[in-house]
Parts: sequence; structure tokens; C-alpha cells
Amino acid sequence: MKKKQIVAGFLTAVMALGMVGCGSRSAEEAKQPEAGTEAPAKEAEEAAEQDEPLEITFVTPLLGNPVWLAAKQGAEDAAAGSGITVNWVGPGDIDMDEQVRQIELAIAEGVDGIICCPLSPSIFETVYQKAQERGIVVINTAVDTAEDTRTAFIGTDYVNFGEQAARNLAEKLGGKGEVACLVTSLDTENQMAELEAGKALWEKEYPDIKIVVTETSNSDTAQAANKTSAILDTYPELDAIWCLESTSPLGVAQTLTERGMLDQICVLGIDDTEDVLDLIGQDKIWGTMTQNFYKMGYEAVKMIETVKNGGTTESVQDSGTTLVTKDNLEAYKNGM
Amino acid sequence: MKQRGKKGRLRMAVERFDQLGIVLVLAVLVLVASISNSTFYSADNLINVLRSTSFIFLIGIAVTYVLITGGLDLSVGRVMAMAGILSAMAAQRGMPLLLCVGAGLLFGFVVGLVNGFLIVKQNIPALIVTLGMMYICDGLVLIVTMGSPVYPLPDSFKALGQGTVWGIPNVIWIALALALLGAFVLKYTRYGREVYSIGGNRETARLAGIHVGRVQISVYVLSAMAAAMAGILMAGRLNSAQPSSGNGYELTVVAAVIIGGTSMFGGAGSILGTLFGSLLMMVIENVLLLLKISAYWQKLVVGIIIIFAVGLDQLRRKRYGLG
Repeated sequence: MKKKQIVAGFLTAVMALGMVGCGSRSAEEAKQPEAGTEAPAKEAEEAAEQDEPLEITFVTPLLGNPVWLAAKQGAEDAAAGSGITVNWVGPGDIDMDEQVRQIELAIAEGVDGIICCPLSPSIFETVYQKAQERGIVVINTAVDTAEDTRTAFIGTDYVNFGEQAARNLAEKLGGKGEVACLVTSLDTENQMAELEAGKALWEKEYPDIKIVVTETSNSDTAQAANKTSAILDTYPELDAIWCLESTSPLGVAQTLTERGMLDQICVLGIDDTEDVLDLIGQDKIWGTMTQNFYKMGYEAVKMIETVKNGGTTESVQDSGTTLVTKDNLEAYKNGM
Repeated sequence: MKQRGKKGRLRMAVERFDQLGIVLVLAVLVLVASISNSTFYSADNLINVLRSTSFIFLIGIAVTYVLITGGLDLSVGRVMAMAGILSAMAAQRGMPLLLCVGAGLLFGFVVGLVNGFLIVKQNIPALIVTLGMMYICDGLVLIVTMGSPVYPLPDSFKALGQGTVWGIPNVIWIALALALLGAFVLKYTRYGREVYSIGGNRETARLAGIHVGRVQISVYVLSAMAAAMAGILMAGRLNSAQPSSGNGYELTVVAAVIIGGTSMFGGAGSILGTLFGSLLMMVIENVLLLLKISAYWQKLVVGIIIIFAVGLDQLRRKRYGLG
């Protein structure tokens, strides 16, 4: 009997932990779906809604990634003091179905706005349509869908980003060299679009720069390290590695350190995570193209607030990008 | 007595060598890679392949025990991440290396004990318990780290993952030592025979006086502790305990063990087979890159090679009536 009690207690604790880990809201917090049709006076309802503080659901593509935590911080800072609630939800690993499920839940809860990063845009368009039909403001961050499927987009303009990164690397290499590229996966649309933009620029303006290989890391530092080693063996004339996702630079730098090749390969990373900035400071990688995720989160909340208060917002906003190398590292850190 | 000729001895060798298909495919892959790209045999590349194999193999050794008993452990990938994070956090707080490693291993021990207890005492299927544990550990990783890597780590911790002995990384030595120990225990000790007996027929094993439950719990403890060890070494190697560390390892490890000839239904399997299975998984990845096969084609080729290698073994078994 005592054993059973212990087991029951343990299972209860496990379930409680599991619920915390899921990151979803409790039933008490969840609103009922809006009935809408039975409201006696639409205007009165709208007026009442305007008085209520806004509720926004931020569906991140990856709970476990520091750059998205910066976006979360931005969203929370924008909401602070205004009574706006920001629900932070999403999958622990890349899982777009889970993102869609979270959006459906947010629609059912009748939130006022949804912020999301639709990694593969086509998957999200149907559920976005549903959200817009319910009057929910949909803001895309980092990755955009077709213009008529969402309210607005804030993020890095892929073409600008890809071209700027490619130009910076080309100038560093003196307009000539072999480059290997690391992406999360071959269907990550923003990274592939950036890569294509960079490749097109090189073909046009720097024809002596060649991409010799594009490999995937699955956003796993260990895989990036292993693949870098094989890339170095396969392409002995390699001059540079361009990382288009943020967990790769650490793995690349580790392999280059182990093989004593830090001064032979120029590495361009992405984003401004602590490890990437440290690697620049330690001369283990040359630089990084930062994206302003904090600004994406902050502005997304402000956009929803503006639209809900009857204002308008631009359809596309570029959150900008900066090249950080050892030359401007301290200045960049001080400005963070 | 009938004298065996050369043909007879060859046939016996072929019959007895369980992983012949995998070894043949491995040999062909290595041959093709070395002809098309001489760097395959470079020390750097071989160390790279062996190191990445070692992380899979290290966990695979213990998972072989689990599968031989007829069990399954899907929690290893997330246990690996959580143990690495716990050890790294302890290291960041200035705790001695031994205590840091102990913290990670203790986590593995507890997880393994809970897995085993729920499977044996509560009769919950291993698939469900370890799948649940995978989610729990994933949740713990996110709660503890809030998604940020534990970085940077002190030099002593880095030395554990990045250190070498005679130019060979520590993780390869550790995997090798555990493999020898694991193979010896499985083949020559009473405990090893009990592991096989339970997988062969649980009821018969019980009637033969084996403490079935105790042995079953112990293999889950071994499996979780091996995953924890891999997580600690991985954090040291990367100078960072990553929340995404070990993602997908549960399937890669189980695949390596099964490809190596361990039965999915228990009762049969070997550490040598798991070594070949792990090597095959990692060598394919390396060779495809060296052969400059486009990333768009790699997964397709990996799938074909795995099915072909295991298919060859099945053909051999059928041919020689091995069931």
C-alpha cells in the first residue's frame, strides 16, 4: 500500500513537471473562444474590448535558442507598463506542426495578436487565414509569408542580409577564394534565401569566389564541428566558412582550434550570442552578421498595439543587420 | 570424424561472423572513399570519425544491454543534454571536476532507476516510460537553462572533453575501455548470461532463479549513466553545454545497436556488433562528404546503404539456415 502511495506521489510530481515543461497556459487562464455572432451590440463589445488589456501569443520556433530569448525580452519590454500580456509558447526542437497547434490554441483563446516565425511559410498560411478572419493581428518575425496572409512583417530582409554578408566576406577574402556554407537544413527558407542572395551577388560582382559545398548542421554544435573537419579534408584549398545559423560558429571554431587552422580559414557567423562574440574577441572567428531579434520582438508588440488601437502599420519593416568584427566588438557590446 | 577442408572452414567463418554484411559494406565505403580522396586516411579525419562514433558507441554499449533484455530506452538523447548541463553548471560554480562529473552521473543514475522501476514494478511498457522520460528531461533542460547554453566552462572541464592521450581524444579511450569491459561482462560473467536469459525467455529466467526485475532495472541505470557520461564529455569537447545536445541520439543509437545485429525482441546481440553499427552510421556520413555527394542526396543514400548492409546479413542468415 505504502509503495503504491509513493508511486502515485511520484507520478503526480512527474505530471506537474511535465505540465511546466510544456509551456502552455492553464485552463483558468485560457479564454473561451469568442462567440461573436450572438453579441447584442457590436459597437459596445468593441468599446469594451478596447478597454481590456491586450493579450498576445508569441509562438517561437525554438524555445531553446538565445536569439529568440532576445526577441522574447523585446516583446516583454514593449508590453511592460501597458498591461499587455505576452504568452511565450513554442516547441523545444524545430517542429512546425507544434507551432501551428499553438497558433490554433491561441485562436481558440481569442487572443488579440499573434507573433510568429513561420519557418516554412506555406505550412502557416491556412491557420493565419483563420486567425485574420477572427480579427487577430498576425505579425511575422524573421521569416515572412505572402503579404495577404498576415498583418505585417518585421525582420531581416533576406536579400539584403545575404548580399551584405556575401559582400563583407568577399572584401575580407580580397575577392577570391573557396567558401563552405553551413545551414540548419536545406528547407530552412530564410537561410536558403540568404544563401541564394549571397551566391547571386558573388556570381555577379565577385566571380572568383566559389561556394564549394553547402552542408547541414541541424542547429547542433557537435554536428557542425564534425562536418567542418570533413569539409577541411575534402576541400584543402578552402578559404572561408560562412555559417548561416547561430550554433555552428562554436563547432567550426572548435575544429579549427583542434587542427591548428585558425589563421587559415576565415569564419563568418550569424547573430550575437555570447559564444559568438567571445569567439570574435579570441580571434577564433573573423566576424558575425547580427540580426536584431530584440527589436523584432519589441516592434511586433508595438505593431499589434497600434493596429488594435485603430492605427496602421507598414507591411514590411527591416530590423537591420550589422557586421561585428574585432574592430567594432567593444562598441557593439557597449551598445547592446 | 569428418575433416573440414578449406571450404568448410571458410563456410564456418562466414556462418559465425554475425556482422559480415555490415563489415563488407564498411570495407567498400572505406575503399571507395580512400580511392577518391586520400585524406580519408589522414589522422585528422580518422580521429574525427572515431570521435563522433565514440559518442554514439559509448551510449550504444549500454543500450545493447537494454535491447538484449528485450527493453528499449528512448530517453538517452535528452539525458545526455541534461547531464551535460548539470555538470557544466557545477563546473561554472567552481566545484571540483570529480564532483561535476559525479553530479551528471548521479542524474543519469536516478533517471535510470526511475525508468527501470516504472517498467519493472509498474509494468508500464518501456517505450512509454522512456518516451515520457525523454519529454521530462527535455522539459528540465528548458526550465534549467531557459534555452541558453551553459558557457564558457573552466579549463579543467574542457580538458576532460578536449584532452588527448598519445594524440587520441579521451572520449575514444573511454569508449574503448567501456567496450572491453561491457563485452567481457556480457560474455564471461553470470550477470551477462542473466541479461541474455531474460531477453530469451523472461519466465524461464525467473524459474532459473534469476532476479529478473533487479537485472532489468540495472540495465536502464547503465544506459542512462552512459548517456550522462557522453553528455559530460560532449560539453567538455564544445566548451559549452548546449540544450540541443544529443537531439536525435535516441534513434541513432538504437539504430546503430540494431544494425549491429542486436535483436529488437531481446536475447541476442553483442558489443562488437554495436561497434560496427555505430561505425557504419558515422562512416557513411563522413564518406558522403568526402565523396562530395550533394547534401540534397545524402539522406537518400544513407537509407539505401543501411538497408543494403542489414539485408546482406539477413540473406547470409537465410542461406546458412541461421533463422
